[in-house]
Parts: sequence; structure tokens; C-alpha cells
Amino acid sequence: MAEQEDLWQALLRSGESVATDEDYEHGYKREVRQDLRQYVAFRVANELYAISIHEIEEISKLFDTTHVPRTADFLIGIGNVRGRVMPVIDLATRLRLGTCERGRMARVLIVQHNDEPYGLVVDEVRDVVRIPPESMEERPGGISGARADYIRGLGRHNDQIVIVLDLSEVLDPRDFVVGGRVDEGGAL
Amino acid sequence: MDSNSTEFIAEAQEVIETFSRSLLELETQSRSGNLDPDLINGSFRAVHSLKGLAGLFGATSIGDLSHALENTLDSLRLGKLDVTREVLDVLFEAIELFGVLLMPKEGVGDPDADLDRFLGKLQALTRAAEQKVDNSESLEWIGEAILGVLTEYEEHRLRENLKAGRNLYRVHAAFDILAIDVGIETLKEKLKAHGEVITYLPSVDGSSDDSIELDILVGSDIDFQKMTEVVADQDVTVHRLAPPGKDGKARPPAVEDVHVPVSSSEQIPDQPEPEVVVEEPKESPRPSAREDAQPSETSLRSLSQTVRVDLRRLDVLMNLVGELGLVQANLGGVLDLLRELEQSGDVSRELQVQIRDMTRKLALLQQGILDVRMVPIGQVFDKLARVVRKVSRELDKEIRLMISGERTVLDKLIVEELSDPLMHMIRNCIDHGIEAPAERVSLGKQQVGRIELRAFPKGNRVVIEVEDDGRGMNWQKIRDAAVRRGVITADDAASISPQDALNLVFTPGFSTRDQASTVSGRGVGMDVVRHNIAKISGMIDVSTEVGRGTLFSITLPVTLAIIQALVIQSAGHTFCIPLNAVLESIMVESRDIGTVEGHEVITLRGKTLPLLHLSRLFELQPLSGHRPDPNRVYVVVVGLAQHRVGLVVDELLGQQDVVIKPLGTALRNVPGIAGATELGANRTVLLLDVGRLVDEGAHIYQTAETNSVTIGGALGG
Repeated sequence: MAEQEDLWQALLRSGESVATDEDYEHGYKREVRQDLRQYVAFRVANELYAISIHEIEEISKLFDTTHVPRTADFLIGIGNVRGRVMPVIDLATRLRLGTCERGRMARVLIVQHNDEPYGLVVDEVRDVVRIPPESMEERPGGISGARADYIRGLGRHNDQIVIVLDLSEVLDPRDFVVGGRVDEGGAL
Repeated sequence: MDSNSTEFIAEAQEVIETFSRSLLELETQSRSGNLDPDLINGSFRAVHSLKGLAGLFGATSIGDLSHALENTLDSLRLGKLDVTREVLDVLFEAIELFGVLLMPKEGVGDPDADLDRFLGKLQALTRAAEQKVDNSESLEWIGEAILGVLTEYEEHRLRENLKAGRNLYRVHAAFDILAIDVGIETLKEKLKAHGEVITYLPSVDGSSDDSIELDILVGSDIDFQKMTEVVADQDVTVHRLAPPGKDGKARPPAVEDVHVPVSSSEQIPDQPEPEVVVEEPKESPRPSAREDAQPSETSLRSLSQTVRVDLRRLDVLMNLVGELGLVQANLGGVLDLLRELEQSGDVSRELQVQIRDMTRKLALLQQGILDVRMVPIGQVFDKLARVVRKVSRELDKEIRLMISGERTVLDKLIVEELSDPLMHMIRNCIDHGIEAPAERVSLGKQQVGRIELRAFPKGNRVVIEVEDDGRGMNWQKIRDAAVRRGVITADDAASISPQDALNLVFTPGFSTRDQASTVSGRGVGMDVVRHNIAKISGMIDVSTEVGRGTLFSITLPVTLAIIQALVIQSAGHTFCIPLNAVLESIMVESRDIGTVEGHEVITLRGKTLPLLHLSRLFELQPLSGHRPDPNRVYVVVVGLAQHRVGLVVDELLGQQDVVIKPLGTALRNVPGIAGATELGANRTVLLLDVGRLVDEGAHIYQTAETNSVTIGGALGG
């Protein structure tokens, strides 16, 4: 069984469309769905979040970072993965959920956004989930405040709510730099 | 255009640059009246290959323009059209038009209308050329065998040579088939030194399996005896061709010696060639971009033996070399471990030898990659020459631009970043510096203004100077203008030194002209220049003499990809400072630090130097284990452009070559941080943006000390 599970995971990861349990429940007549989107689900504080699998390049254990002065509190620093320098973000801080535990289960999701790598520290990586577009709620109603800006939509997976993050908001370059700003021209 | 368009643009730009260079040189030569036909040929080939390129990529308008231009250049090289100022003006206009067509700006002008208008101009030129065809003198004495295979161009050159009173020689040479390219090249060089090679005629006569014989038609001033000496070689015989009765000593035309192989019909141009010039423009105002067979098909090949490489790919290589450097450092660590083991003597010695060898080769590899990034500054100078030409016309001033050191090489990135600041400086020179011709004459100066553009290496940096012989800058006027614009207060102005006053031109919002002209003086000026130069770690200095001229001098590092850095520590955090911004580092006893109105300063060689504590500036949290010496600190004196400050740090850890990595979009604008680098053991370290920190320092001190004489003076020093 364990072996089969691995195979299934591997198929999912390969991006091939495979029939899921759900598909079989509806009988063989139902065609394998092509439009299921795959997401990597992870835990931050007590909530389940997800990022599209296409945006994730690698999942790494925690690595050393260098503090960068004059940057926002959610930036842990810059890290270096095989020669590539990237900003590393504490996602809990970014989402105003406290700070990530950085325990044994903590991981860094290395994402590719606008052709540049970023590291997102999360408390735990859970699973690859597939969410059909129709069960995605585009306009999140229940969540208010600053956090709503970072959310692309809400999905359901195994009766759990999964919050899909909008990376272009989470990684908005305007939020990274704070303080010490005189002006852009380097004025006297 | 499709996805190939960047490739097309890059290649087209290169060809247009070549064309532009030929034109500039042509202009210089036309003034001295001694035209090199190869130059016109070069332009012709450049435009021809551009036409081919445009055809491949479906860039119709560029194709149309090159096609029409090709006709004009053909008339030029056939002597139907003279190289006059008017013609050159039109040709230079074509370069501008190419630029517009290559990268049209949204909503600016109408490139198509420009193209139509320009094609009309070219047509007028070409039409004028038709009326000036003069092939009066008979060349029959040369013999049909030769005449029959000459292209129109070759015949024209032959006539030109005869008109200039040169002797005509037929040089018969045999080449080893294996070394023919070298052989021809050597002979060509010899002949070119004494005249012009008009054409090569293949000869079947006597050609054996392992040799090829050629007849070379040469026009030259030297006499038969001399020519024989020039080409003295056992496989070469010289015949003189002369019209009958003109020279008694000459042999009769050696027509019977020449055998033209019937098979070499590709040598014969597609007749009638001139129709391309004559007919087409009459038919339609926009000649179609159809490929005609003129003049040869070989010119689609690249003009140069180069490979175009994306700079980012070089960055990847550079990174790899940097990482290899780290591996090498780690190997050093392994070596140390090995030495501690017993009986490892031979092995560790061998490892040491190998590591040393690797270090050397790594340095060579790094240098090799750096060299690939290097391009001559001449690329920018050529563009500037066009700017001078254009702006001086607009302002009705006569300028002579003198360029030297155009072969000085710099990192491609730096060269790119330089073109805008230099263009701005040149415009300023012409607009503000150089006086109107009448004014110059009345001042007893030469009517033609002079701008010198120089580049030369100085140590491991490159200096670029822009000097004019114009009216110079009056520091009192600059000071007064600065007060009027609120750049400095009247109190500051009272005590300002002449040099500091001059430096005010680099302040944002400063301009001495009250009305903005179209050329310069839009209020963004020298401050942008200074900022852009500081961005590439350069310094700019100005010196001037009223009535005599102004000299701007830019000092630049040779490359930015790898820099020498000073590694320092502050509150336990490690940073790198680009060594080219470090003037000196000194140890300072705490008791030597004074304060001026709450700000720390030291006195260094009689000048007051403001201090900046890196840990306070960056609000650094002290890392554990960090215990600074309370009695002394290290001060790193840094300066960019005109200002100097002392950065207070805890430790100096030494110097190192570092590979700079960009921080990416999100962190690009962190003030005071320029990039990151690796320092062994996968440790990432930040590189300080010294220009920015110096600016901040100056800002802090200026706002706090508006009436402090001491500091105001020290900042500029």
C-alpha cells in the first residue's frame, strides 16, 4: 500500500493527469478531469494554506540566513541555495499569525516568482492536493483585514478549508524595504 | 515581429553601428579629400547584410530603407555620386531612422511617414547621380578578356586609378592550393601598401592539381621596377598594362597571357546591373524589399568573427568560478586536517601542490571570463560623435570632437551605463560650455569649438575625461544660483569654497539656465549624471577655468562583476565594502573622537571628517559573543564623487576578491545595501552601497549643521 501511495504521489508530481479516488467513485464512465489544479498544502500557525504546485521549485530544510538591515520584520534575511541568493520570508509574520516555530517539521518552500527565487518558511508541509476550480471560492468572505489581500481564494480538500495564497501580493516588493529612506535619487 | 526579434535587433544594431563608424570616418576623410574606397565598400556591405537580415526576419520597413540606401551607396562607390556634406547628412539621418524603426516608441511620431519622406530624399540623390555618369574614355587597350569580366564597380575603380595617373599592373601569381588563403593575404598586403587591388582574375592556364594561379589587377604609383621588387617572389610575375603609345617602354598589353576560364561565369555580374538604380525609384516611391541578385550572396555572412553572448550567461559562469573558489578554500581546510594526521607527509605535500596549481588556474579562468565581458569604450564614443554632430547643428555651433583612447576596455555593463551620462555631459558642453562662433571670434578664440573625449587606464581603474575650451564655469554665479533655488542657504554661501561651489552643479534641481532649452537644462542634469556614475561605483570630478574651459573627469572600476572588497564587522555582523570606495582605514582611539553639535567627528590631517556608526545606521542587534574594544574603533574612510565620511566599525577582517550577486527585485532598493556575496562556508555577506551611505551621512550633517562652518568645509574636502 505504501508503495502504491508513493507511485500516486509521483504521478501527481509529474503533472500527468491521473484519475483520483473521487473519479472512480463516480464510475468509470466519468472522464479523467483535466482541469484539476494541484497545490502544495502546508500549515502556518493553525491554518492550512496552499500555493500552486507550478510556483514551487523545491522544498528544503531550514538553512542559514543573513540578516538584512532596513527591511520589514517578515524578512528573516537572505539565504543561499546552491549559489542562488534569495530573500527568505517568515510566512507566519507576513500573514500576521505570530512567527513560525522553526521546529523539526519546518520547511522552506522555494518558490519562483517573476523569475526570481524566494524562500517561504512554513511550519509544516502537508500534502499535494487537487482542487477543482468549481470548489474554489474566488472572493473570500469570512476573512477580513490585511490578510485578505494575500488570499487568492479558498478551496476545500477533505472537508478542510485550504487558503490559496496570492504570491504577487505576499511577495510585493514594495513591502520589503522600510526605514532609512531619503529619496530615490540619492539626494544630498 | 516574432520571438526572434531581440536577436534581430541585436544583430541589426551591430550592423548599424558598423555603418555609422564607416560614415564618421568617411566624413573625416572627405574633409581631407583622400577617400578610401574600402570605406564606402564597407558601408555598402553593412547595409546589404542588413537588408538580408531584414528579409529573413520579415522587417519590411528596415528592408525597404536598406534597399534604398544600398542603391545610394552603390552610386557612391561607383563614383556616380560624390561624397558631399549633403549626402553624408542624408546618410546620418538614415542611422537615426534605423534606430526609430528598430524600436518604435509608442505614440511618438510616425515612423512610416518618416520613412516615406526619407525614401523620397534618397531618391532625389540617386536621380541626381544618374545624370552624372561619365564613362567616356575607351579602355579597349586593356583587352576584352579582362574588361569583359570586370564588374561595374571594378571598372569604375580602374578608371579612377587611371584618372589619378597611376600605372596599371597585372600580377600573375601561383599559390599552393593548401595555403592559398594565406598566400593571397600576404600578397594583397604587399600590394595594398603601394596601390589599390582592383580585382582578382582566376586563371586556368597552368593551374595544376596542387596550385591555383591568379591574375591580380593593381593600380599603383610606383614604377615597374619597384613593383617587381615589392612582390619579389618566385611564383609571381608582373606585367604592366598601358594604353598604346602612352609609354614607350611599356610592353604591349599582354592580352594573350590572360586566359579567363569560361566556367567562372559567376564572376560576370548579372547584366544589366545599373537598371536596379535607374528603374526602380521611378516605378514606385517605396522600392519593394525583394532580393535581387546584386551584388553577391556571400555578404549574408556575419561581418565579424564574433559570438554574441548574453551577459547573464557570463554571470552564471562567473558565479561558478566564485563557487569553485569556495571549493578551493574548503580543500585548504581538508589539507590542514590531513596534516594533523600522522604519516600523511607525502600525501599532504602532493595535495598542497595540486591546490596551488588549481588556485593559479582558477585565477586565469576568472580573468578569462572577465576579459570576455570587456568591450572598448569606443562603442560609446562613436554614438557620442553622432550626438555632437547633431547637437552642434541644432545650436548652430561648430565643434571639433577629438577622441583618444577609444580602445580602452571596460566591462560591458559599465559601458552601457555610461552612454547616458556621457551624452548628457556632451550636450551640456555644447549648450552651456562652448560659445557661439561669433562670440568665440570676438574673444580671440578659434571659431571652431573643441571638445576632447579621452579614456585611459590608471592603475586598476579607467579615467574618462570630457574637456571643452568654452567659457568655463564661474563658481560665484553657481553659488548665487544655488541660493536662489534654495539648494543652499545664504549663510552657507558666504563661507563656501570655490571647489564646493562648483560641486553644487551635481545637486538635484540645480540649473544655471533660467529657461530650459531643448538641448539641456531641464533641471535634471548633472545630478542624474553623478547618480548614474555613482551607481557603477564611479567618481566624477570637475575643474574649470573661467574663459578657458571645463574638465569633467570620471574615474571608474574596470569591472563590477568581481570586485575587491574590504571585509569588516560591526556588532558581530559581517559586511563587505567595495575597496575602490575605500580611501584608507585607520584605528582611532576613543578619546580622539570629538563632537560638533552632537555629531561625532575626527580630525584627519587637518580636515574634519564626520563619522557614521554602521551599527547605529543599520540598527544592528549585537550578535552573541560580540565584545567590542571600548577604547578604540576602526574608521574606514570612504568617498564617492565629492564627499567623504568615516564609517565606524568594530573589526577589519581583511581584503578579498568577491563575486557580486544581485539581491533581486524585492531587496534591490534597500538603502545602503548594494548586493550580496559569498565568503566561504556558504556564508552570505552583504555588500555596502557606499555612495548611498555617504549621501546619507552628508544629509544628516547638513540638516543638523546648517550654520556650521567646519563641517560644511570638511564635507567637500
